[in-house]
Amino acid sequence: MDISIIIFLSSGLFLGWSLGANDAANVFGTAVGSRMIRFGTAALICSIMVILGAVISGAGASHTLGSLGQITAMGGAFTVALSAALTVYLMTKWGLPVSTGQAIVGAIIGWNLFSHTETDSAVLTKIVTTWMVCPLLSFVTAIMLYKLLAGIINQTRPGLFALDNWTRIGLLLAGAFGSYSLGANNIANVMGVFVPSAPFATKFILGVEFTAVMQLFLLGGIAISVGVYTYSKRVMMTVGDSLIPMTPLTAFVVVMSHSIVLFLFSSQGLSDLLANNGLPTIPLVPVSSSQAVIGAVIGVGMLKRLPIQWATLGRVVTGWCFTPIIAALGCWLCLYFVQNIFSVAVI
Amino acid sequence: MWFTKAQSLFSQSKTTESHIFQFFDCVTAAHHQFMQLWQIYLTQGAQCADFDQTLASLSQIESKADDLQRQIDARLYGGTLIPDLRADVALLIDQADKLINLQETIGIHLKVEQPTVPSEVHPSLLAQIQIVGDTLDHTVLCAKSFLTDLQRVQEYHQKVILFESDANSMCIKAKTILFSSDLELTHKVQLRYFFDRIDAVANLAEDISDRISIFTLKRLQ
Repeated sequence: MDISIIIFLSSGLFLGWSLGANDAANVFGTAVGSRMIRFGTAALICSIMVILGAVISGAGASHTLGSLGQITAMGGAFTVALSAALTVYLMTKWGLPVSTGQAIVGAIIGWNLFSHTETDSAVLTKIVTTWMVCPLLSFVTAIMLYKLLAGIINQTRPGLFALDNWTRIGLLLAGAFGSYSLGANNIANVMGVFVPSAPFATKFILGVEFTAVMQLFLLGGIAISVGVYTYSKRVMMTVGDSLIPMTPLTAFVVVMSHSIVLFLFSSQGLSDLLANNGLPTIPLVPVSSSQAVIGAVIGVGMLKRLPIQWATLGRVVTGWCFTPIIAALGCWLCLYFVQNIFSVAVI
Repeated sequence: MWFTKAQSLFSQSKTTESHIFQFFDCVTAAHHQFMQLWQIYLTQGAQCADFDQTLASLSQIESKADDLQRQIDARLYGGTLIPDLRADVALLIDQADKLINLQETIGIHLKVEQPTVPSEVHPSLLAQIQIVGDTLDHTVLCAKSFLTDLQRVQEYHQKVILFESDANSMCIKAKTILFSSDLELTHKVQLRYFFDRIDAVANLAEDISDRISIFTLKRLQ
């Protein structure tokens, strides 16, 4: 592979790394933080499933992102991903929760402003609406799932050891599903901007077509995995009870609700099925893993009347509001520098 | 591979669970020996083979319970249970072990001190030991329910509270009878300590039951 390609993709790979470091905690944080599952097991499952999700089901959400801004110049794609990554890095440094999806959307809008490309308001509305619907959907899913599980437990009345084992297995499966959904939905944030300028040719491996986009997403998936292995442990160890006190069952419900919501917003198959049956389709949009988790946590917290740390939640929402704005402004500035100081084509 | 891992997780849990149940059987058996020890003492005294044999049995049960506790701890901390639950179960076993230790200690003191027990105190003393036994039995049932059926814990916990209250009343009644007897004061004081030690077994059983109740609330939240 040409070294220049790696350099151009490096900002996306860095974004992937930070996504792996931060968002793996949404999937396995509670289980690893409370030592229900070993970090090694969680990291292995998470890495494999993220890559599979990205390569197999990552295309759906990236189309939506592509229609928001068609960045055909490699330099432009590099700068957009870099400014999104810098936004994520800065906000994390300031202690504000951050959504990679919001950062990349903000950066794309920044590129649109810089290149005087009109932002498709219909697509933008669809994306922003999804950001609002995602935590609400997760909230409702968590309440329904919790009630269902509580009902099953009350009916079957399993012993403590049996319940413990089922919870542990459940957390592993939910984590695997969550990782797959994370890869499928969030790979668009990491590599979506590079799709129009993907520097790869289609290959056939063992008779299976391996498109340029798939290769791009594989690289992104690997970057996420590296993030999971190298940095997510410390994030996982600090995640868990920041909003509500977590029990293993609550953790399972939260992870599962988050995974279902992410899957809904990235499954082309499900979208086609709904369309074929004349039902309204769910938009395939990259959503925030953190928003899905927080929606589920608040859902369970309110259902069980647990004390919710509203101050923490306020900080989280503040972060969500500022991320796209900071990313858009940051991207505009970065593009200005890259084009005028480094003389690299960004449009 | 995953299936094998899950299977091993379940079989490990089964073994730990069966060890815990064996341990609670030791608690029940220990009290049975303790009751017998007093019956022998009140009828034949401490200088007979039956007494020594019963005390030896009680010590054997205590040793077996200690072994089981070590095995359970090793399995628990080897990762059978998730950490939060692991700590609760380990604490429960540790406290229940103290029930056996207390009764064995009383048995040894009985052998060493051989207090004089006036005949008018016999019925209330045996009744006290009987009620302490009921408290203990229901604490064991409460503990077993914590492992098998959380919904029944409160029911047994309530019974433990009632029996413990009866045990306290019986202890006071026995001591009242004791101090109104013609026995010398030194003997009365010596025997009073035995009543208090027996009562302490019921108190500890109630403390354990209280803890189980809290563990359960935590899980039913």
